[in-house]
Amino acid sequence: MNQAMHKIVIDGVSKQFVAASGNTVEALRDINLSIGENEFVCVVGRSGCGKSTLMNMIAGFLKPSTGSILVDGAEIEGPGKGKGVVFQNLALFPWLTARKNIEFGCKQQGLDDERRSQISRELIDLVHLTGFEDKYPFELSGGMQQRVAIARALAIDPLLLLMDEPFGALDEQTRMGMQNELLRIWSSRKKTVIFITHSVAESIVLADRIIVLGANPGHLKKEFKVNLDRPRDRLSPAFVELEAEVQDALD
Amino acid sequence: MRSTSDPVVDSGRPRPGFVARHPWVQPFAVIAGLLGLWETLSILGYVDPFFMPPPSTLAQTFYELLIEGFPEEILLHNHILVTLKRSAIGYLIAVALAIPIGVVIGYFRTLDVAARPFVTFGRSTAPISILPLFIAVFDIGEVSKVALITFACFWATLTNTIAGVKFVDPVLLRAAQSMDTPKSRIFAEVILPAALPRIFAGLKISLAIAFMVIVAAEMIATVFGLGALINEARTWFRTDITMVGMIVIGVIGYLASLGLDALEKKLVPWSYAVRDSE
Repeated sequence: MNQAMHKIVIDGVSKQFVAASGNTVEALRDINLSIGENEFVCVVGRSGCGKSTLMNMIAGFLKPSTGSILVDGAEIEGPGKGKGVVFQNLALFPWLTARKNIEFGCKQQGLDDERRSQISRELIDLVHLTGFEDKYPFELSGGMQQRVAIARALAIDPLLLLMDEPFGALDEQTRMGMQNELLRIWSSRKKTVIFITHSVAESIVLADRIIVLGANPGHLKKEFKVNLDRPRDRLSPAFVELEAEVQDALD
Repeated sequence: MRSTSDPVVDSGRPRPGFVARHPWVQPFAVIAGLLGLWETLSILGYVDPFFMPPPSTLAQTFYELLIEGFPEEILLHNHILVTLKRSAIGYLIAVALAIPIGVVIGYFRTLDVAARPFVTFGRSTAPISILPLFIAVFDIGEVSKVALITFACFWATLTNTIAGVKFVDPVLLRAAQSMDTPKSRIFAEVILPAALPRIFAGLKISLAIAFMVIVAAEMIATVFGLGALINEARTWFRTDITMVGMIVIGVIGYLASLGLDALEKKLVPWSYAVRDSE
């Protein structure tokens, strides 16, 4: 990978909100970060450190108060345009079946039926949902809903995949399964991934690089490169050592 | 193969009981028990059959209404048809007006703010209090009766439609935006389907209201309809007919709401699940 070329450049970004009380709350202060093409970056931090705010700005839902976020050299103008999002609470459309949820983005892009169903078939296969494609979200387990959300975000073939604590609500067993699946998907369709989590172990399982955010206001605290071969053994000394270091940076 | 594996498959859970397998048994038993008690009290002389005719008398009255009719030999099924027609027309007009108006009000914040006092005022007005006005405006015929039902049914569907459109989960809108949904399509693709469960809730409340006001609507200047039947029976001190009329209205209302439930399950199958998870 050419390290000199960066997909995403976050340059001096701060974000303030005006709270209901009228006070200004500083969510993020002076974030500088470059994320390379096809890089898998995990952002960890305690609640209230501005992780989601950062993601919402990269996704184009919010604008930075100061500074700029560039994707391939161009400032972000709004949501969409190759920025796929997997939301914390999934945000599946309850009135659409798994397949229709996955095809939603293709439909908006005006792809014809044949192309759409080809894409959804591939993705249903990729995330192992065969046999469940015509179920509504409420008929699916949490893990399956999760996979629908990931497939839906992948269907628009995004260059950048933003994931906001997508596995937070899953039990440990399902969560580890989903982590492996995500890595499998990521290696089969290379994309830049920004993955937000509060689990240190999860970030080490997944990421090329871990960004630790501190709170009050949210700021960049520390960065770790994860130079472990995948799949990563949670019990290996190197894993455990890094886990302790990242945890230390968090505290 | 199957029969030999059955005992192994057995989860240890007891087989669902008779009542669980036949959900109609309980309400049926309750109704039968109440009717039996009522009849017994009547026979024992604890209930005056003039004010509170026993079920056996009501059954007889029901039969009389079917073949002899009342008043002026109007048969029961004619009353039912007239009432059904009036309530259906009134209800459908109400719904046909309330849904589009509610959608527009819910969609535009300024309109919602502007319309709020008016909507609250309309919703809190007792429909019957508006009847004299309707009679003055629409004359005393069919139109004023249908208009009363329309007025009564309008508000519940309106307020629920406004709320449904207004309170769409913002994260669903973001999801749609992140998939390049054009602004012009957000309404059809997200807002409307997301509002459907609430709109249906409004439709159900409005339906119940239709059957609540039908008696009032049919009280004046007509001998046709279940409301007229009840009112005429009152002037002749026929409490038995009044009660049969009430029961028939209740049964029709119940069946209509079952029909609407079935329609909801068909049109918005995901609606129940969404409500359960909220």
